[in-house]
Amino acid sequence: MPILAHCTPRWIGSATLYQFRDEQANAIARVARYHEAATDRSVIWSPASEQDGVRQSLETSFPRTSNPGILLGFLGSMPLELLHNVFLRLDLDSLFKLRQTNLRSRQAELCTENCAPCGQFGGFMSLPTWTRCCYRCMQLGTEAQVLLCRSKESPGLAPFEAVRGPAQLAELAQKSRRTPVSFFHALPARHNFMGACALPYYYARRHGRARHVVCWVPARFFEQEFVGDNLEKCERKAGEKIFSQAGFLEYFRSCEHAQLLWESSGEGGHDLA
Amino acid sequence: MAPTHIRVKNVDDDRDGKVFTITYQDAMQSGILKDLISDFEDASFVDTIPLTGNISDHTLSRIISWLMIHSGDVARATEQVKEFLGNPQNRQPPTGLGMDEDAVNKALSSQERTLVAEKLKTLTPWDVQFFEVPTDEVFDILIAANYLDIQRLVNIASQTVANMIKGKTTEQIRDLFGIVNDFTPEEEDELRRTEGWALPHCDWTSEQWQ
Repeated sequence: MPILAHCTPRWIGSATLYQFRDEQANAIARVARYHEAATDRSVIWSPASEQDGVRQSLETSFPRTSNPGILLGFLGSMPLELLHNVFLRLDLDSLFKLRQTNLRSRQAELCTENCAPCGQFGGFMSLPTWTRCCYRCMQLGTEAQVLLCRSKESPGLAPFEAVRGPAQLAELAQKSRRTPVSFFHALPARHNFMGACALPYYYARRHGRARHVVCWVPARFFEQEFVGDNLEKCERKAGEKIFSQAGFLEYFRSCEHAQLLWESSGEGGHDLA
Repeated sequence: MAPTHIRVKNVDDDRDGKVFTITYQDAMQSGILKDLISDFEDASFVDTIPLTGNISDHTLSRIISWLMIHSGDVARATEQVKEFLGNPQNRQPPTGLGMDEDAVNKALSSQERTLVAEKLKTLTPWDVQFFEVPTDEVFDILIAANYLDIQRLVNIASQTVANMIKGKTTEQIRDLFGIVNDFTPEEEDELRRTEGWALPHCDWTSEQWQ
């Protein structure tokens, strides 16, 4: 990468938005971003065979359009974002019952890719709160954080089981003989551990699920500077974050480094080493 | 110089609504009013601010009463949090958590923000009573609060609607919101077959589905 080698190791925003054709979006995504596989070490998992029986009924509605005259009553008078705001406050049991009221309610989508505390893209699911959260809120937002605490020092706090992963909570928990608990319930102490797992989101453009992505630039540019360091520092250096698929393309328009990376690849003509 | 009071009224469909007077501080809780006041100030004109969100006079009066009651909430919550964190005992982490004071001090601003936000989320008895009104009125307030960009009221109203749904059967939800059941008998059969696994105790298997 001769061009990239001469770049200053700091994030540079382009003066004008980079223009590309729609059909180039996939190639740009292939060249300039990647999926951080380490974050996929999920702590929640169930065999696909167990989901097969119910997936269709959850993912699809009946193959007919609802009668425009038959809507959701009072609920139908609300804008969609308000409807989602209400849905997100319901427990699963109530949501299922609401879904059975009529065809329109069954067709109302409850999809969000946004972080509950801050509204930015949230590629993770907070285990203490069971809400979407972004990497930043997972670290700094008190709702999603997890800290280590000796059991006798945390009466009444529900403990979490630590697993091995990028945050190394399991190792630390074992070493210090402490139990991970919800930060929020142990205020005002503060610590940074990942009490979350990656969760795909619904990508309307592709009518399917998608995973969060990270810009290649921090990893490639700052490799020398951050050998053995974690994603967070790369992100901080780049001044950026973890993206949704659509969010990355928007970011790409203003990131000169990512644009250089794209151009270095002959606009997707060949993969970079 | 900011005015001490603002006058607002509905002007939808050539309708001249009732004029309401609201303090500047109360009005600042609404994103829309804040912007409109700013626009009118720029034009050196502050008289009556027209609202076009199709809000009835009754709903607007209810919302203004909510704004008046909650006017000093942020300042009060911030003061309480600062007082809590200002107490040396409270500034220490729970016993034995292994945190040093620097770490706690660094966290103060973040904690303050979070604690204030948490305090503001709490539904007061006044709020609960405020929403003890017919269902259509709850929705009117929610939609109007959304138009006026009063995020706290939107959240409280959304929570109220969610609370209305919780614990009810499918049929009760239909009755509450006036939702018409348009499933065909075949579709209802399929629902029972494919989704009966989720809520075996729910009303899908009761007589009303037959």
